[in-house]
Amino acid sequence: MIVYAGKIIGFVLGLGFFAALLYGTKYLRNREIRPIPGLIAIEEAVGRAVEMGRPVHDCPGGGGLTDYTAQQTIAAIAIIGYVAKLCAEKGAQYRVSINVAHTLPAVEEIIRTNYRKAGKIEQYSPDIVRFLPDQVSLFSYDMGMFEREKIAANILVGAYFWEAIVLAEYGGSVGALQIGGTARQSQLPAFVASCDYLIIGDEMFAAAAKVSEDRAQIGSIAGQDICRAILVGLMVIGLIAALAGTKVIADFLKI
Amino acid sequence: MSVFARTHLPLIIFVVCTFWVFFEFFIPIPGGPAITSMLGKWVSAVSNFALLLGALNILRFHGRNIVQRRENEWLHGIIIIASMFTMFIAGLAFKPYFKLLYDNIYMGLNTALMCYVGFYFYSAMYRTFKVRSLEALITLFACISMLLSNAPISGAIWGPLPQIGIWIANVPGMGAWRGFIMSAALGMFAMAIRAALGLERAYLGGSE
Repeated sequence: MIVYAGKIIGFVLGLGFFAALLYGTKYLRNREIRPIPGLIAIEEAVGRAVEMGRPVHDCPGGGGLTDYTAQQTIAAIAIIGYVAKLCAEKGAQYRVSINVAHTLPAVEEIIRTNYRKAGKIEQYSPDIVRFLPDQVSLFSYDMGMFEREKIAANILVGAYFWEAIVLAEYGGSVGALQIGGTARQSQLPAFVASCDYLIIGDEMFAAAAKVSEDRAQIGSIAGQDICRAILVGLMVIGLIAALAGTKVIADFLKI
Repeated sequence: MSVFARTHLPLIIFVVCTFWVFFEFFIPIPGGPAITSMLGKWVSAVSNFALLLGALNILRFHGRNIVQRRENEWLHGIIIIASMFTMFIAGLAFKPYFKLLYDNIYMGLNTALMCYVGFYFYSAMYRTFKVRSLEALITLFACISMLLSNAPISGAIWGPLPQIGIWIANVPGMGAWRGFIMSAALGMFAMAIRAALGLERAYLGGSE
């Protein structure tokens, strides 16, 4: 057997999705991603921070690059790069707090790169990124910082755990304009309740592609829609089959 | 550091490892699971090295605050740096003291701060309960149903009440969660492929 029994359809679908994404990067480059309100709000938030003379706070959450939260953390780092560029261009003070050590070099580098891209490398300071060793120290430090510096904007996009509710609630209490986003369903309600704008689930990955301004990445989002159509099609056929009293689709997926 | 060492080499390692793990999951390869397990251990080892970078960041940031006597920051910096070195030295040379400090100071403070979560959930819930739109009204109804169904007294108030909350959680709630999870999982798969193709380079610190 070339493929493990029970994983054949998964393997075929995986390869199919890979092909669809590859097709998207090559042939669907001219597509546009619809406006994402949370992403638009980031520009508004940075502008507000400049007008108020207060800092923008950003945090990629408690996820890292070595586990199931890696994709969300990559998307969060891409968005940090975008915010850094906006802050550099508009002259806003920028604060980033992180609690996962191995994301530190990537976060520092992407901020430095974007300050350089904006032509404001002289405004870059290593103090922009603050490392706090765990979730409790992250939010306790941030709560103090929010209070002292009265942040104007709080951007909480990434893989969040239970620090989500504390950061979002405290940010709200100091009057910050808040943008929350995560693909972790258990923390999404915290952002729904506390944030002004949301980047929900896979919008975060689309937002990361959009801010890259790379046509191949934007094309891959269109390729992703092909995969989504296949999945929805399978679900509809499976539902009809189940209503008809047969498990043909469920059994097919187990091959 | 050369461009090759900074961007190309990590990308090559990332691409090789991603495809290895993907194919090894589906295709029986002699010795494959052992190599994948070893890769997992390497990941832990390499990511732990990064803790040193974290410690350097703390020293640099708080050290500067202390030297410059930054208002509201320098005293905090002394406490952080002193605590860090105390735990480091105790962990290396005085293990029983490390455990004593960890159990009696760190865990106590940790637990006290965790209590914020409970209070903030209530304040967030209070805001959510303000009915401003149809969505907020539906959320309010679902929340009250869930609260009542989880309260021990709910069955005494009205027999079917506990079942209403359970039905909301298991039927419409679960349906929405599953849709969300499938959509997010597809997004994660696409992000992984974009990274494996070298298109998404945020984890390498972006591209010029």
